[in-house]
Amino acid sequence: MADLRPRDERGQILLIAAFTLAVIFVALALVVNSAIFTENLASQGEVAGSSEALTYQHQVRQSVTEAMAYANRYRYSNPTSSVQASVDALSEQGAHQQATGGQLVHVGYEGSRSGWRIADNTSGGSTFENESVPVSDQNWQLAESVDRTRDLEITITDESVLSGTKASAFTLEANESTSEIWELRLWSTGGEVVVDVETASGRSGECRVPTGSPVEIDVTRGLVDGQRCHALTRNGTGGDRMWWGTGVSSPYDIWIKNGDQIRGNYSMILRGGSHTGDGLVDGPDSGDDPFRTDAMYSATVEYLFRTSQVTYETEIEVAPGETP
Amino acid sequence: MTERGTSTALSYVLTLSIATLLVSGLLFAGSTFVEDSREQVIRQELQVIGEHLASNVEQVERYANATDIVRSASIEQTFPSRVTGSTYDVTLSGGGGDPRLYLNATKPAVSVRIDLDSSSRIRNNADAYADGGTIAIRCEGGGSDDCGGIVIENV
Repeated sequence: MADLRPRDERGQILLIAAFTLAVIFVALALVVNSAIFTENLASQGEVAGSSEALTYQHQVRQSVTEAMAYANRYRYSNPTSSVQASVDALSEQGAHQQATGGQLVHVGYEGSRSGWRIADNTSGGSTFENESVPVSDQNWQLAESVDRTRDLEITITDESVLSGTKASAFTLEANESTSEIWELRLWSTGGEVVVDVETASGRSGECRVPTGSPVEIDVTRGLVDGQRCHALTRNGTGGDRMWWGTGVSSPYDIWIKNGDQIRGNYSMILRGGSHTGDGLVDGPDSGDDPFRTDAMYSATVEYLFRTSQVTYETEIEVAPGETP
Repeated sequence: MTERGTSTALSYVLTLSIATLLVSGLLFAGSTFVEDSREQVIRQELQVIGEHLASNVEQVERYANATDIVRSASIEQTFPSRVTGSTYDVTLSGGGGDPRLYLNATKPAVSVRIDLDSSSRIRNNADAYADGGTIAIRCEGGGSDDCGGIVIENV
């Protein structure tokens, strides 16, 4: 009763245990490997090119904005061909630049909506009167039956001309009827210029900037001297809309009232409508009267951005300085 | 002297039993440890894949919001087809206005949920589905070149 089995048949348990442990270690190695791969995956950023698609789209929008501004100012007789040529050049240059990063980009001119521009850019500024209106030259209709307005800018060059009271202040008005009136009033308290807005639904607000020439009011973008003015954007904690023309149905008329109570320049681009009265000079004019030219209101360009992982194809409508 | 073998037999049985017990304990503990670790790693990996997909969904949403007319918008990304040896699938669910990504591994059964920013483009009651591998997040037309909805699919 010494050995139950021959010596060379002993140790099976240890052998099985060793083999199973080996399998467990291999499985553990697989798990650790997966954990390392997970860390690697977690450290990867976003898909290559996915942000560039939006960044470059923004650049295209900016470039077309500049091309339109140039065409409306200097190529007003045929802004379409000027913008089209700019877009073609942009597409070619952009394609070369982006190709170095492995991105395929195409920008193409699709079409545009025509409009017209009214401006008074008298050097040093002038009052906003219209010498040719027979009845009352400080209250006059600038445009009739306008569908949309963009890039409406007023620059005050001499604040001493501004009225000291709200009642007699310079007023820019968008109205559809006697009940739907949006008003912007500008007056001075001596130390501050007050920008006062009242919407068609009766909501009002004001913002003030310290006196110091010139004061630039970008009405449709809601900026005064480059700063956001809540009276031209959203007011109060509830965020009521105050933007240009809020509550006024389209088409609407644009009026200037108390035009003698301000001195400066103004400019705007309109879609639809006309000027039926006297006083607007055709073509650019540096005289005291405002002038009108043809203009491009908005342009549409197609935009294609493609990488091996990202596809983005869209149409971009560019109408800079429109209210949101 | 011939009866001394009794002690050897008892000792042998005892040694065998204790060795078996110890080895079984070791194997049980080892396999449980590996299984737990595997489940944990699968969960982490699904979480990471889900975050990447969520980022892609939100990026496609940004594409759609950037302009009014979107002809096509998609982002593809290649992920492993298995996570720690287990296959998995991804479901993009509208969740009744509370959109989510569900990632489910099959064996062991592990589920991960990733909450997405509220989006009107992920339809409330729609479930879109993809398996592991190359997964695309894509705008689906809603008529007149608009991005009507965001879907997930295999490429």
